[in-house]
Amino acid sequence: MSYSVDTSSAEYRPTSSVPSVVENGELTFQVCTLFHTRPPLRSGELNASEYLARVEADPRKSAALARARGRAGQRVSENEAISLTKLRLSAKLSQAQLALKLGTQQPNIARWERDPKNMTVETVFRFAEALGVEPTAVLEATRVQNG
Amino acid sequence: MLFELVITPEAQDEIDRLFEHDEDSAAELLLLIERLQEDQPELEDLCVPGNRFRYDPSFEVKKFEAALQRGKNIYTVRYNLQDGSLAPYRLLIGYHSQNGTYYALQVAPRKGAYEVGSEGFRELFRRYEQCGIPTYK
Repeated sequence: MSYSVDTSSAEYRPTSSVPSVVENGELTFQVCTLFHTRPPLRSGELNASEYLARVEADPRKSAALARARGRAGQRVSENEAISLTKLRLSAKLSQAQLALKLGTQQPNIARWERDPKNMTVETVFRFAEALGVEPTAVLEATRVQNG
Repeated sequence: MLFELVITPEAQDEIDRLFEHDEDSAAELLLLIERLQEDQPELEDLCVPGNRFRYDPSFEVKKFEAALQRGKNIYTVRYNLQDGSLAPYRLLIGYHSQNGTYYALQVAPRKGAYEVGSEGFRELFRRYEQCGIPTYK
């Protein structure tokens, strides 16, 4: 018995394929792993981070986006407890802008906002300074998020 | 797989035009793009039905049924304005599932965004194909 994927169509054609054999007790599987590589961007296409960098370079759009963050900060979890995201948005900062202030990378901010368990005390204080809030506010947000 | 959101030049132009006559809607849309760009797990799950409940500020992703019936993997994103009301625009996203790329294809007014056979609908498909997203049969 065999199952296969029709990769004859250009749309489905993988960039590369790696055949292998997987044995599981009495059964042996012949496996072919297909890899798809992202094609280069078309002329004029921008990935979201490039596009947002261009937006930030336009004073009018940058100011409008900052105002939208501030409004979102008020709106986020209005009926719920404080969070790191809410503190950041209230300070009208993107994750990338906050990361720059903290001398770190944007994915670290995303990770802390999702799960602040791994924040050190030093990071909490630096967070507070960058956001212009008391460290107790950041601690409270991490305490609430950590449950 | 690392997921990516790509803004097509046509969608960039539409956001620019939106800025000229509805700055708040345009800014909220930029905030949504920023949000998706910042949160890799959220982008990964963007098209999973029912996820809207955990988004805060809230937005909603729905299958564009008329497009899906034609083999086009297109979703609509509805987002809110500052007062919590629904924005009068939709972001239409095409998803290339083989390489984990989402394409912001079109910014369309809520009214008329889903009219099958309209010029906007045909243009949406044209952009979808231009991006090289497979048509699923």
